[in-house]
Amino acid sequence: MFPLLTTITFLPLLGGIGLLFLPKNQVGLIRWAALGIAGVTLLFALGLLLGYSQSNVSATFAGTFLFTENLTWISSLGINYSLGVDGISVLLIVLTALLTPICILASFNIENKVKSYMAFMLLLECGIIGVFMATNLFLFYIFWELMLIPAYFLVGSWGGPRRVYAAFKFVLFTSVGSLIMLAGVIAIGYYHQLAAGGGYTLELSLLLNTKLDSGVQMWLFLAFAAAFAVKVPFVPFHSWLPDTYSEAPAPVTAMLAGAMSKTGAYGFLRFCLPLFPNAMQTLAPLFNTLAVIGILYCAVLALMQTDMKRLLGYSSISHLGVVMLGIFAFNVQGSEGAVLQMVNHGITTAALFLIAGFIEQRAGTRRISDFGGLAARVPVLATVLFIAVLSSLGLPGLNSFAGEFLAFLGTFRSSVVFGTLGTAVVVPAAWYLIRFFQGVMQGTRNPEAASTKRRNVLSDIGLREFLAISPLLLLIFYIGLQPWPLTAILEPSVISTLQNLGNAFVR
Amino acid sequence: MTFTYSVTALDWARIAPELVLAAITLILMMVDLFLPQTGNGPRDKHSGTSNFSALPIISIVGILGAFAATITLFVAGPLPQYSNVLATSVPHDAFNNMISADWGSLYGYLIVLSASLMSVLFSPAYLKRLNLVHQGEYYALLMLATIGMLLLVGAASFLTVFIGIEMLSLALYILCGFVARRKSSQESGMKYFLLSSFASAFLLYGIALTYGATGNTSFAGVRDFLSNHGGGAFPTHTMLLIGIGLLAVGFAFKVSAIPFQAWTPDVYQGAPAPITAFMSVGTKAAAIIAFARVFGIVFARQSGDWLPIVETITILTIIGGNVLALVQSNLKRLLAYSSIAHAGYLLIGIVSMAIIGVSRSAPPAALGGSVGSVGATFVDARVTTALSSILFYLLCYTFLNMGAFGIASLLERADNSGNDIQDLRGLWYRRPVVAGFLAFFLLGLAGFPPMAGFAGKYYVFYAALNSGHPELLIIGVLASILGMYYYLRLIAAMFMEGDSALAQVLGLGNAPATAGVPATPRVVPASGSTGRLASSSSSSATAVAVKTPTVGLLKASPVVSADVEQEATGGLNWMTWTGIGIAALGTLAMGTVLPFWLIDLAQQAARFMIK
Repeated sequence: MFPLLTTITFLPLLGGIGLLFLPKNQVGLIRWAALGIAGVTLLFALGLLLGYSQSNVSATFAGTFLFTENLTWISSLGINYSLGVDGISVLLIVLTALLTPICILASFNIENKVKSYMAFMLLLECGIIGVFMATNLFLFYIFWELMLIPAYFLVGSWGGPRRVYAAFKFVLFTSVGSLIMLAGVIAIGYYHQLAAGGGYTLELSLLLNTKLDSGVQMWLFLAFAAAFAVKVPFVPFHSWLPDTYSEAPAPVTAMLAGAMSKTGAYGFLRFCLPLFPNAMQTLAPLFNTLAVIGILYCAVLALMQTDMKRLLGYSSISHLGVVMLGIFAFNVQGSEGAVLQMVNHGITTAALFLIAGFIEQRAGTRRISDFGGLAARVPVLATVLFIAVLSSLGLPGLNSFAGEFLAFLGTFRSSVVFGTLGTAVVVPAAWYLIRFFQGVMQGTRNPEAASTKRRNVLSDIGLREFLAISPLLLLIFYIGLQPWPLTAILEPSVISTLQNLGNAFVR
Repeated sequence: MTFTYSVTALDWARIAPELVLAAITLILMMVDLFLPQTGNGPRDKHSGTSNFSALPIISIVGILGAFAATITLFVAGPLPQYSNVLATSVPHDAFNNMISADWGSLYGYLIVLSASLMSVLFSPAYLKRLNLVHQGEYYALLMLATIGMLLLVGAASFLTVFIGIEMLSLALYILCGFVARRKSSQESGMKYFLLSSFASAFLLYGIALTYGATGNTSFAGVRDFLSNHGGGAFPTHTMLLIGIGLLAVGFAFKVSAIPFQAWTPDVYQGAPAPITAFMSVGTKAAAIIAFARVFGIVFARQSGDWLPIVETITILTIIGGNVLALVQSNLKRLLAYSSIAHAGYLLIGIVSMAIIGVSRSAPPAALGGSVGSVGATFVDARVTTALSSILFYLLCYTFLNMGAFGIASLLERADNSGNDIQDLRGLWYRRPVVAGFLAFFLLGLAGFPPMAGFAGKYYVFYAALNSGHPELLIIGVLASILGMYYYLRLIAAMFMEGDSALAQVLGLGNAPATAGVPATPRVVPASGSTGRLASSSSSSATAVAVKTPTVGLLKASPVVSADVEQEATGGLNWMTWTGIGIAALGTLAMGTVLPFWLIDLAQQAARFMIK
């Protein structure tokens, strides 16, 4: 059988290594080669999506994967090279594979060290896709750390003035979480061995068979949650995000916010929920509270921002809070909405960050007050931004509405309090997004503002930029108008994942 | 006491790797005499071999020969088949229990020989660049140190342990001080000599007391004595305790464990980089294996006595090594402290070998794991796991550390500068390949997958948990976070900060201090200075050019980099690069494709060692 998953994961990696051997001064060739590699990966990913939607999947039990690949790696430690996908991961894989060529196309204006930049972008794609595919905890951890390295270099070497600080903060925050998870990974095999006998194993499908003791679950859950909560991020661990997102070059931010930030929520859904159901339920009030605090607090913070990318960064935290509420609702609507919202947020936020990057690149500043009345000057860019903003604030008919609606529905079913508090975000969200749009595109031109001075060089969106962003716009409309193809793929897998919750699982 | 023992051919065969190296040492010294000399006049103390490639090639041939001998011993050799040995416990040591040739020793030989090979590969370009002409001595001493390490790894008697340690130390004292015109190198040699002699004295005293307490110097003899006398029920128990304590001090010094680490940073920084590389890996590997053998196997029944001491040392070493490394600003010094931290991770393995309260000879252990049966007795699977984790970690560490020091040897100048963080700043823009490789090894040392460091660390932490030491798992994991910080700081300096002069112009000098207003447009301050430094950025005055200043800055960097780094090495760099290439391949392979059999091999070796 053709190893489709391995191909999708390692094609970017091999391509990235291949790029390093191209001559340094042939910048155009390097760019197009990188785009080509990412494009071919996307084709494979679409093939995977097609194949998956053709296969007849029904809800069974947690840990059922398709397209599985298994290779014994270190047998005495239960470590295998095993990949597999289900409805949840297949969507996120396609999302990642889609965002990569878009972001590569959007970063054609990067001039220095192009070769390394493109190689790191492809390596980042490899890491993220691997995270969504790994079904062995050891392998999962390898990919989890693998995506950190390129992200570190991309932020630190190509970012803004405070890039080194931002890159450091990012890596240290996430590494602390990851290393605590590493302790959890080592320990889960050990406790599984104690509980179930047999050999030491880290194979997800085997680990799922044994229910661990509640006390053990609690510790292991906290260890895993440390890594995932930093990545999502939950509020006390979020302070790396605005710095990183604002300092990284816009296409990198789009990758980080669009694809990588999903790995945290995915981790909760894929590993924490089926492996530690008791601990999840015990701690659900805590995490729901943190999620609600994140949703509201970051929405308010976003209102206060003067920097476009920081504003979008805070709004991203706020939106992912909704995803977490959905996951911690423990019902089908909540989880389905959460995954759908992960995909939608990936699309919308990537579009927003890319547009912010286009504007920044033209004006040389990210300060909202430096702009005003750009719409008359750049009508197409303004329209594109308006669509993305409307999508982000959850306008019915655009993509985010479906996901948010489902997630909140699930939350209301499990807890009216958290549902009400969470839904309240609609007001500040609309406020800061509209304020953002008005501040940049509408209103009177500030004669002192930088953009007015540089009016002559402010051009409308270029063809390359438009091509980069158009797939995202199409998807915003498509998913908004008919989300059911996605939910149809999701539903059986979500139900399977939730099986392990036992009685707490309400269909 | 009558002593009847006849030396057979088997005895010689079992120390074949050492013999090959001893022969090559003699050949090296002979050849050195006949090679053309520098200078025109008669030989004096300043003249030496003018050819920089003949002697290293001979050394490499010798090391490869030793490799071949080791591998032959592994697969066929004078040993009976592996399964046979387990069943009948045929002795597999040479010269009446002086040196063992079990798989554990052979695994250790491979580690030491790899380190030696890479060290020799790093040397020619380095010696040429620093114009160190006394190569005959250099390579001969390197080979002698290697033999000492092999003896230490294979030791099956306390006497061999001492001989091995002295042999490697004496050679290394001289090698550390080899750059005679550099004060720091002389200091390095002297410091190492003084402190190491103290440690040897402790060790010797410990050996004497152990002999006094048990009446034996061979490992097997001491072990038999202890198993015949139960756990501590013999009159000389106190004497043995003192002996164990002194031995622990001696070994802790050799592996540079805290609080016996004080010599490490100075010695590592002052010594020539290829020698530092060799010391940091070879000595450590040999000493750790001997440490594990003596404490984990010979004194296994006294685990309760030494466990508190060794565990305290372990925790201190892990935390202290990582914390002290945080404030270092020199690559070699940082690697010295990081090697202390790695010694701490290795000591976790030794602590994990102490299984208290479970009789060694009782069949199946508490855990459902597999139990290897050896002869008539059973070995606790946890002990094998712990020992094999040490072996595997050492192998991973060898390639990572050799690689990192190999890069340091490329950067080091005659006055021992070139490795400071200021010199490394912006290295990526001047020598991208060097910077890339260094980053690769540093990330590996920091424990990022998929490099070897991660696999090794994972296995050691697993062994700790497996033997009931969750505290070591947690401490190890938390200390690794500190490790990430200091390795990444160096990488940030190389990749993200540009040249120091330019960085200061732009205010990018030190990362956290530059926290300014986030949304400040970055065009204005940069464009002026860039215009001066690079003519390419004429467009930087316009608004479109947000990225351009950075570009201009980076293109301008090589202008400043006209320095001594590319001193004449007479086309010998390929050797260094071969060494670095071997290290990189090993690092990558060990982290990805090889563990599946290297770990199994380590487990079999460990089972064999414990017998």
